[in-house]
Amino acid sequence: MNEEYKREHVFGLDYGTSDFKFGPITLGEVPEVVENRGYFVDSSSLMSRLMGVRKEIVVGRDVPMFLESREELAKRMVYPMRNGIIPKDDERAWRVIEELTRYALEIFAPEDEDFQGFYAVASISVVAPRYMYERLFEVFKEMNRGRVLIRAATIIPQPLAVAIAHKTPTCTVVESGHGNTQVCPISMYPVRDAVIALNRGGDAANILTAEILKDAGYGDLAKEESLVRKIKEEIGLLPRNLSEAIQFAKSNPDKVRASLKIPGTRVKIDLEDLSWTRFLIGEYVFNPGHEIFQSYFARGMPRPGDVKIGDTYFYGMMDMAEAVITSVEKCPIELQPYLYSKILLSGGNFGWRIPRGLESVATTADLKSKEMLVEKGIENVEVVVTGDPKFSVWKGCIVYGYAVPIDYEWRWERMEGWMNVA
Amino acid sequence: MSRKKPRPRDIISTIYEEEGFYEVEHGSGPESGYFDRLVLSDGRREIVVGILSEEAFAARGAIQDALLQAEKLKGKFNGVILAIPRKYQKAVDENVLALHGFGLLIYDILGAEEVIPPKIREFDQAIMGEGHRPEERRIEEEELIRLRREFSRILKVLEEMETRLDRLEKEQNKLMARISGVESKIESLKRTEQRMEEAKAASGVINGGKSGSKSLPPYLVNNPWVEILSRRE
Repeated sequence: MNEEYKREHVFGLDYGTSDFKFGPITLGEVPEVVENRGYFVDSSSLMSRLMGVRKEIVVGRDVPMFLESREELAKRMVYPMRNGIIPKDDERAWRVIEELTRYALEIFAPEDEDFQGFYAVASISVVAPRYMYERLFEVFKEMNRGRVLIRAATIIPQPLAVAIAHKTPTCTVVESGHGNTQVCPISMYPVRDAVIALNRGGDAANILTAEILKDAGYGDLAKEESLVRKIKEEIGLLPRNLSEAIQFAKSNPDKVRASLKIPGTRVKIDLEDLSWTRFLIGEYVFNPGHEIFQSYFARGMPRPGDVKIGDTYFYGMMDMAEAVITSVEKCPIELQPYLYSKILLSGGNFGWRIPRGLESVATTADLKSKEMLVEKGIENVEVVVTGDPKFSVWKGCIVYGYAVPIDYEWRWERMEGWMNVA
Repeated sequence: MSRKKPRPRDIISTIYEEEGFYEVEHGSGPESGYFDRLVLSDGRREIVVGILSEEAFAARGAIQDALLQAEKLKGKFNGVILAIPRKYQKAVDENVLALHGFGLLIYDILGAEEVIPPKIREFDQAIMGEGHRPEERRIEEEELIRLRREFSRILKVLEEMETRLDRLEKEQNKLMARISGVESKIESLKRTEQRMEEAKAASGVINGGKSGSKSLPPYLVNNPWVEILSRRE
């Protein structure tokens, strides 16, 4: 194996909390994307018999074809990376990861004899414990049972991949996925001791959206997670200032009114006089401590709690700016100005848009973060929402695999390098 | 841990070493089976110590034999001393020994003690043997003293040279370590340079996507991480 072979066979695997992005370097800028989930098939079901399915799990694009009743869905559908961390003994989740990995590799593995395995670069949460690395390497070894699909593999934390994809060696990465948010300063290496994790991500906003739908009379739809997520993405707004935005919405109901038709269905959603609640969805991601959310908590909406998973503490209610400051202040003082001067927001949870006519009250994630940091006394702040936030991590994986020499072997003390799995 | 019991000979030598004497010879007396003989010299004079052990005292006639042998040794050495175990000190009359010019030492495992110093005699021509004139004897003694001084000086020079050699060896080891560090850095720089060249050469090889474009994707072009990561080792 030489460097040239490796560079042509780098394969990125981004195990996101919601989506799994994968593909070889030859894909260029856009990887393949499937939901990070697996469906445990009922072998007695009509569909599986018709399709002649022998597999225990279905992953990827075929999943919708096997779905059964909603009750079955809850039992059989497994989202392995919901919090970025898979419990050590959650065998169903690990089976899904194994199946997804095989699915990804087999799509792209060439049949020709010259192919001797990919150089796989996987990316997982920066707070993932060591056992996840160990288990993932085992999964990679397992891939080579029939034919060699992976020559060597490595695993990098998602924030590092984001910094690499955005060509920034010194920065603070805020990666917010479905289940959690990680704040990680980077200075050539991830500063692991300064990582701050929040126990909320896109799912927190989904939960609030479901509550808003219930209040608006769409309680039956609120149970379907993927639909709720879609509604959130379509109608959710991030306010510059929540109180002013609500006042504006109540004074200008027509400008803020949200109405949405779900394509291919008869479902139409109209929030009518509750359209002001659109601003709550974005605010909740950045600042769940705002007093307005108390009424939702009082009515039973789960409050994002502080939890400890492995060795990592996940804060539930800490606001986004506070999380950045707490993380940066764990780094040497000399480094701190550089970390504030380049803050990268990455992940689907930062994709807030400003609809026409609402420029005075709605904002984007970068502007909101900057304002919150300035309010807390931080100067010379530059916040950037990464372009293609969904694919940043995968791109970072590709660059990492492309650049790191094949003779740089995996070292547990640094959590870096290639592990030969063939 | 057990400690070895000190020998009478070592105990006795110790007190004379302090006066500049060193051991020249040791062994059983050729004429006597009752005592050990220890010959000491300071380069100019030679003294002999007849050591009677506890076992010897058990033999009848051992003291008489020892005294007779000691009398004979008077003619050969500048001083004659009898060494006896401390617990048999009363078995000999110190005044008689002193009258005849013998020295007396008592010893036990804790140490030795000189009870009567020996009478030191200067040899005349007869003692030195035939052919040794007084001038010659004086010259030999002076030569001996000079040689001893030279010997001490040479020893000092040797010690100094040994110290300097140690220091040089340490410096050499340090230099060797530094040289191997520099060599490995040069080697690593060479490897990095080679990788960078390979990376440049490979940039035309990688397809930019399904379209079949020959250029690298934008996130790889001018990315400082490529250089940073290619130096990982």
